[in-house]
Amino acid sequence: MKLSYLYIIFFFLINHLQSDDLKIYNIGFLDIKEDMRYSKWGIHPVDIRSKLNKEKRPIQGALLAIEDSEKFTRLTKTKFSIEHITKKTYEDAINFLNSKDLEKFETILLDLNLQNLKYFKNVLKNNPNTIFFNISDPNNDIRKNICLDNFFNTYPSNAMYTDSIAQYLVKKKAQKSLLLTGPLVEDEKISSSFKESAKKFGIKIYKEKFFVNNNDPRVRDKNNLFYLTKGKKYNNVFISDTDGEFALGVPNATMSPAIVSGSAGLMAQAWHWSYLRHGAPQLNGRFERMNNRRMESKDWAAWISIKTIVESVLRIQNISNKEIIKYLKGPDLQVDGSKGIGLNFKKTTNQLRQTILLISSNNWTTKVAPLEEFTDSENNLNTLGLSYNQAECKLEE
Amino acid sequence: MKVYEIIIFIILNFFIFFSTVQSKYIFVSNENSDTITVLNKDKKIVKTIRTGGRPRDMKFSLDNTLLYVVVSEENHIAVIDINSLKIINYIKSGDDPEIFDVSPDGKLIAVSNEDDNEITLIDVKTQNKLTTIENVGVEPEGVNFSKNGEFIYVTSEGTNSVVIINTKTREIVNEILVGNRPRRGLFIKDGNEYWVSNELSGSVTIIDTNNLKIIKNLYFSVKGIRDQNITPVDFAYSSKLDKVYVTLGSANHVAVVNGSNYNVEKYILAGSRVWGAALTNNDEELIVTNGNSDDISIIDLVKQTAVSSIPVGKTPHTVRVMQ
Repeated sequence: MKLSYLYIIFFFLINHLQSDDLKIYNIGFLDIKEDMRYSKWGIHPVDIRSKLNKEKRPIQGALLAIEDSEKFTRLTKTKFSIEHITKKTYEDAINFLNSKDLEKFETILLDLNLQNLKYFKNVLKNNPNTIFFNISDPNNDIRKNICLDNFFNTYPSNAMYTDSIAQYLVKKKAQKSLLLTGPLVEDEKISSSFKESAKKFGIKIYKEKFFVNNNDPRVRDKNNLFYLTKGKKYNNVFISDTDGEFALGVPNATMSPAIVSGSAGLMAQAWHWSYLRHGAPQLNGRFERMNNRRMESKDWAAWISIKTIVESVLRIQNISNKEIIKYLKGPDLQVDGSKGIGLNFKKTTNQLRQTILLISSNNWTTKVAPLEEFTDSENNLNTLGLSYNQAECKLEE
Repeated sequence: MKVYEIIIFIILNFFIFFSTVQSKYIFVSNENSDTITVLNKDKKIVKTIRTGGRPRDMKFSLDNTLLYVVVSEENHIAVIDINSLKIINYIKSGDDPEIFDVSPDGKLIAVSNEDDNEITLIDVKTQNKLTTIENVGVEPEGVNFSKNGEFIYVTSEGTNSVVIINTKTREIVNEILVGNRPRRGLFIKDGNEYWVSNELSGSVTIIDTNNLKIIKNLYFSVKGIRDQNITPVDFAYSSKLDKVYVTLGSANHVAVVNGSNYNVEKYILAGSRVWGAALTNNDEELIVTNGNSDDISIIDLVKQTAVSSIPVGKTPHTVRVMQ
């Protein structure tokens, strides 16, 4: 009995000492319950019907980053804690950002398909002391229109993805594109990004066709690859299919031989389990052991977001967001994303510069963009994505 | 068999035995062809030893009769008898071993286990695992015993630091923040300085081991090469010349650094993604492994230029030369 008292006292003492020694930095991870991106889009039809199908939510990447951050404690003297905030709808999530509850957190990771950017920007503006990371939305308009000091994009933009593929097509001398665009708004966004990339790198889009994923014989010009890909004027097919099911059938099925890229065939991704260099296998191993599944791009973006915060605290030995933002926007940040090159943010768009992996058939890293042939006077990573002067809001801030 | 035949046989064997031991070998571990290429002092390939899953770091035993090789995917250290050039034993090393060191008295081996964020300490004599030291940072890589063996220095790639372990108590006694992605360490000047290669920062951090203060962060600049492609990894040190040779990875060059004033005196062109390095021929030659061109470069340090390259296995990792 006596001993157990002693033990309890000892336990409290230890806890007390620990909390006294370590500063606390609170991170929130915000997502919504019904999110098409995880329940339907991009999921293999076989997996939808499988009992093993689990939603691959990037909170798991964030949790790994928190676990990794504990290894830094001796030097950061900071405990990074995370809270998973799941709201029912997108509106509820935005209401949360407008509420007093937000004050509990220094940083928020946003796992949202962002809507109504103008309003969203105002929400962020009202919380200038909180740091926000976009970890899953590739929409170029976000980079063009939200240029706030406290908002960072760690997930690549569509422009980075389509630029990477464009570089590869140019290198392979396959510069005649047939563009296949799906029915979703998101598909249109990817296609318009590919059009911009084509212009930037000298690819000719010979035709854009719009497909639907059904078997209706009345619209066979839109659902049958014979009609969609007939002719010989192209040597590559770029397909924008966020849902992903139609795209799966396109490689090896075009009427003329062609490199298929975009939503199937050669796919541009921030992260993939087949990358074997620069410590990637170690990161993949840690993630797989922790979560029993393979690490994907959004997991990586969540992981690197927290890692940039930890890296900042490590270097500046300060947990005030004002100082952290200064460091994140400054020239000294060189965060290690296991991609073999120090990563930092572009001015104005606050997009994390990074290499993009070009993945074949979802099982092999064929190439890493930017390709060696594409250089930039400041940083070769700048050949991917929007440049500073493409941001439309730069004069405002 | 007559008696004199036996005597001649013994004498011949004796002669062969000693002539083999005295000849110098160069060993190159090829991590993607699962082999070790053995070259003689004339740089002719004399043998290829199969090791199995991913051989990486190598070290000699104190008496130079054995070569230890970590075989990462097999989770052990293969022991090669240098006389017969055959694997004679395996020592368990913990999961995914990468870099290791043998203590100055030859009694201990310390191995980094990258996946488990641990260091495994092994008794060389019994070949048993003594202990694992946990929480040495994310992805520990470089491991070095200090000169008297009192401390083990570990570079931690994921936490950008050097963790210092007391060998006796097996406790972490200090941690020093260095550049990004520190890969390897090197003690020079009788153990008074510890150099760390920071792959992502493109720099070398020089630590005074007496007060654990950073003396200098040494940056490199190679004409015509982007700073982001300067990725230092391995070292070779000549105390005779007072020079440290730093392999610069994707920059495909080796930096020659003056050990006294820390000036970079020369950048010598090597092969593609130059990693491992070792001195030979009385410190007149440097041998480096080129991971992306599957060969080694022989650098003449008098002429300060690469004089030849020799194809070895796939993705050569480490090179060691019998002194």
